[in-house]
Amino acid sequence: MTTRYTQSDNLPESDIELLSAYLDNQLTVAERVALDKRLAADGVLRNELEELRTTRAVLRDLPAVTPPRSFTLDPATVKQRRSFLPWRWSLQLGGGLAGLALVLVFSLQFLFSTGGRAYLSAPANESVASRQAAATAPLMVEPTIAAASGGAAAPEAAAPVAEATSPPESAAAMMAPAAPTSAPAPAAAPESAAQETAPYDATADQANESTANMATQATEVIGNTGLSSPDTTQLYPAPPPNDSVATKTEEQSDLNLGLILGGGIGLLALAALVVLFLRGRGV
Amino acid sequence: MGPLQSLDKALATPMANEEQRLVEAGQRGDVEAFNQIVRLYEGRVYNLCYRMLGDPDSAADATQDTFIAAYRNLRSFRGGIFRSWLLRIATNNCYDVLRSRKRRPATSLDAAREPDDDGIAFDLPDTGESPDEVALRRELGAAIQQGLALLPEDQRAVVILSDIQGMAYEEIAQITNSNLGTVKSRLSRGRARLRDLLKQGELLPARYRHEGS
Repeated sequence: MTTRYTQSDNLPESDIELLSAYLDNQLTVAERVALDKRLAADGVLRNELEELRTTRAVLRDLPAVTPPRSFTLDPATVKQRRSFLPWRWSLQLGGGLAGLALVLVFSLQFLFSTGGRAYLSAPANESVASRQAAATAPLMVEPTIAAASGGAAAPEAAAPVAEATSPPESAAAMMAPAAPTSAPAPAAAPESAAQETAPYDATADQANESTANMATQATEVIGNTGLSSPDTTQLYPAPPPNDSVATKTEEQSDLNLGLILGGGIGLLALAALVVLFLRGRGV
Repeated sequence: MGPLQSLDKALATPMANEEQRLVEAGQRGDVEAFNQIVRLYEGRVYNLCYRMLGDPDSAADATQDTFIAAYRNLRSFRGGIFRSWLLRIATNNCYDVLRSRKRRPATSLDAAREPDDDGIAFDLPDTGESPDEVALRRELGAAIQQGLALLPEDQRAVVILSDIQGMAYEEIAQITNSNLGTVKSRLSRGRARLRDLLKQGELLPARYRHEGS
């Protein structure tokens, strides 16, 4: 008996795999025909097949085990567990909203700084200026301080900066006459309206020596608010030539806008990823 | 072949539809509907866990955990064979238990080596066997359980699913997250190893041995 088994134990693993699959009728016709031929000629192989067949039969005959109890779920317990769901969702929602709020805050700060700059560098239209003044009213404190510190270095420019924070009618009084074409700027996107005025302003007659100074000062103010990079002041160490001022400040604002939008989109994407990840885990 | 298969289909479809309805209700938070699914599958899940883990208490815990996890993750089930999905959770639960046992080996070996006769009730068919035959069958059952415990976990799972639970290779591949080739080789190695263990204990019964020849 032992000799027989010892012989069969020497069969290569691939043969055992063939025999095992043969038992389960998992061979292709060609494989089966080939194996049948070998089985007819090889007693060791036949014996191995029978042993495997017996092992499988023993396992199949194993009686089923009766569960000791029922595993139905208690609705009260499970409902309690599931109450974690809204909690998780509120976290996700909160994360998304926080991202959105950050974007809004940055946009508002950006709006204010560009608003002041746009006003200083050249005329803006009344409606845009007043909307900006209204929209940024709660955020005035910081830029005003910045304007004051900038004013210490260049008093002549500080005054108009302060003017930007004053009521709309005084801002309107400072407006250039060429504004009406951009008057119907959409209220929903005042920052873009401010941007649109910039290239227009650059070609306007208002771009004289003093506005160039003011624009330079404005970039310093932006730098002081911490929103723009420290390079700002290095870019404009002295009043640059008239024509390039508005263009350069606009480039700066584009950079800021890109950074802010990029950051905002990144945050929103992060929130979306969290949602997808938790959903993927079936939460 | 045609008529039988269509009869099978006719019988299977209302069942599958009912199961799908219960799953969808469960996905909407209907615990009672889900409990009907539990009743359908608790025997199978418990048996799988019992054979994987070797003792009734661990098996009961793993079974309960499986259904809780299934309910909580029911929304992630999007079609396919529900039974495979459920047994996959069960198999993974068992792997987790076995892994944690490896960190504390003492308890697991005791549990695996002494399948208790008191706590577990087998569905013994009333075949009019003599007491000797019943005793032999019990001995064989214990030996198989010990042999299963000695198999590597992936081979054990495949042997249980195929030879004890009678599933097809395709479904086993789904449950164990592997492919047909892997199932085939794990199964053959597991069977061969069990055969060796049963032979060592002189437990490869003569009655079976001549069955096929």
